[in-house]
Amino acid sequence: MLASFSWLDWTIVLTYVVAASVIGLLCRRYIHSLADFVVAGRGVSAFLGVATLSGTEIGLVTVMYFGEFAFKHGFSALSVAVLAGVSMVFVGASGFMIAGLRRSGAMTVAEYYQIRFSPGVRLLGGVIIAAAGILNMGMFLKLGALFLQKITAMPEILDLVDRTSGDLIVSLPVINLIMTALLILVLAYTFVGGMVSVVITDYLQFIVLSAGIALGTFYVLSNHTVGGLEGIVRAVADRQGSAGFNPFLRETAGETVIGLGIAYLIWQAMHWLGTSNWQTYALRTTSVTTPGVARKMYAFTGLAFFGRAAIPMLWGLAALAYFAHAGGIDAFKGNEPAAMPAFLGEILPWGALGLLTAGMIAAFMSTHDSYLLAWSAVICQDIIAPIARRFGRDLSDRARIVVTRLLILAIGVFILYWGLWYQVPGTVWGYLAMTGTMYIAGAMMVLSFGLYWRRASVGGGYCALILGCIPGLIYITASVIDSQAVARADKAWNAVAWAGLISYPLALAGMIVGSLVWPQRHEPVAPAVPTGMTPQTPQPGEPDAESLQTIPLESTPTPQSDSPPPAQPDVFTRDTDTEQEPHRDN
Amino acid sequence: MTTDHWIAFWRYLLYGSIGLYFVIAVAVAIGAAFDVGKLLRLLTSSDDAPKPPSP
Repeated sequence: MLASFSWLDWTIVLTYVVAASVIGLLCRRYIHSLADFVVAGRGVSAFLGVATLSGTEIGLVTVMYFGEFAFKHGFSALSVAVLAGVSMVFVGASGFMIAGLRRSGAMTVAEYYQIRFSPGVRLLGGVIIAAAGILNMGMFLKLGALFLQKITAMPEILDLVDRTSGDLIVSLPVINLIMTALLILVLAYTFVGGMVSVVITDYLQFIVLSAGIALGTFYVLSNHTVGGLEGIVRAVADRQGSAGFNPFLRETAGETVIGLGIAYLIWQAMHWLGTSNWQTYALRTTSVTTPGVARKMYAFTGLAFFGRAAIPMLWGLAALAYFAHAGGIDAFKGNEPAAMPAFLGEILPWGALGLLTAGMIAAFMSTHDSYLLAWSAVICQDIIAPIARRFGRDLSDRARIVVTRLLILAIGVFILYWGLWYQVPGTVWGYLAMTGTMYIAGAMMVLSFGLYWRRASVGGGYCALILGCIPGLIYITASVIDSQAVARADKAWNAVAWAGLISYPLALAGMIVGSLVWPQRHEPVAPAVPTGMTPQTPQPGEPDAESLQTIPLESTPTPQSDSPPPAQPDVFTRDTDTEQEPHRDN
Repeated sequence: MTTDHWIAFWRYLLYGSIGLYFVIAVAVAIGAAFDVGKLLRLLTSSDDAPKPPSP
């Protein structure tokens, strides 16, 4: 072992954590309204949008699951990096879904469902995205704590002993203690500062994270035991054969499966194409100043997304090579996520270890604050507020902020419990992509058909959301009941890939058949735009509102076939048509 | 494609994506510094806005 976590490393880490927390807490003074709390007053420009989207989506959990994915599947895992990057760049270049979503003035994706379809579709969409999102987040704490435990070489168990008698008082699992400490830290400033705190600290975290990643990559590639890229290629060829390089192959080697297979790749392609619907992405889309800025943000973030996946995968591959060459690789059988942080803990020198860990804690915090805010905003805006309105009670801005903060706390407690208890059947990435698909498959059809198909109806919206959710729900429920049986199904017939893959055609069929069987009886209605707030008009080069959005903005509001008279949607837009400096309505 | 082709492809992809990531990271770090200032000015503008004249 070349180094262990020293006082210098702890100093770097603690300095960063204190600085980020103080900045996050100071952001409280900028919160004046719900729009400030949830979408940062819609004042996020292109560069800051890229920083905050990258900061959020490059989490410690990202590094862990992509590291594990490459450790298990070799270079074939990099195909997911290609699909992620290409899809994001395509979405940014074409404006597919994001331009229409931003122009609609909605604050969440589910809010768009109400504008285009009905309050009922919004409610169902809100329930599904909140459930899928919180389940998705359920593994974040555990993986973050595992990383910190391994990289700092902390013991598995902390024994508290009576000093006088020497008797053991209690044995505490260290990973549980780290999870609790991390949760308290991130809850504190998300709870107080909202989206402004998230955006500002994301920027700081993006810088620290990038510096940590650069340093980590340098040491990984220059380590003698790893042997550079040639050494990695040798290790993958020896241990995984051609399935470690060709992602279309899928081979079973003893207890493990190597390679992905065609079904997995098609599922991933569809998953990444629809990812802009994922609430943490959509919240960035609705936080930027104009639809044009949203497109730039996605295009640049897409380019960064190649590296977002490729760099942690390189670390995972290097961990495979390191332990294959130095010995000890079998110690990680069944605990593959631990290999990469254990490897980094062994090769990084003092100081570099602290900086990388600070960067990873930055990544952890930026992901958690954003996810906590995203799911709590959905539950408050898209579930609780519409239900309250049905009972004749409109929640004020102040009440919504209080509710959102309480939800942040409740979600934090849930993910602590879920992380301690749930056993992932296959790879962590498989679990995350599956929980994501539960929502993304239906949402992609509802949003895209809502924007681009005039005949898309409320019935189609319900069918798409429900059918898109069912395969993932069955998979996750089965894994809760018997994780080992699901793991065997994954190994035997790639169950995770097929369950994910089938969600998309099911949602597509649901949208088309549902819309044809239960056609829209009336034209969709435009949102009643609050005073001082204007709907977006397209920028040069974008499709016009008539062709892109089937919402006739000038029409007289007409009740939906299955809904009460249109309630005022929660539109907090104060946009300008061009990319001029945004102004604040007082 | 043979395994050698895949190895060559992944090698270019790895180095290319890592280089691209850091180029974008530097550009974003510089550009976003200005954006942070703009956002904070926007969010504080309501505090500094001139009060409407009294009737």
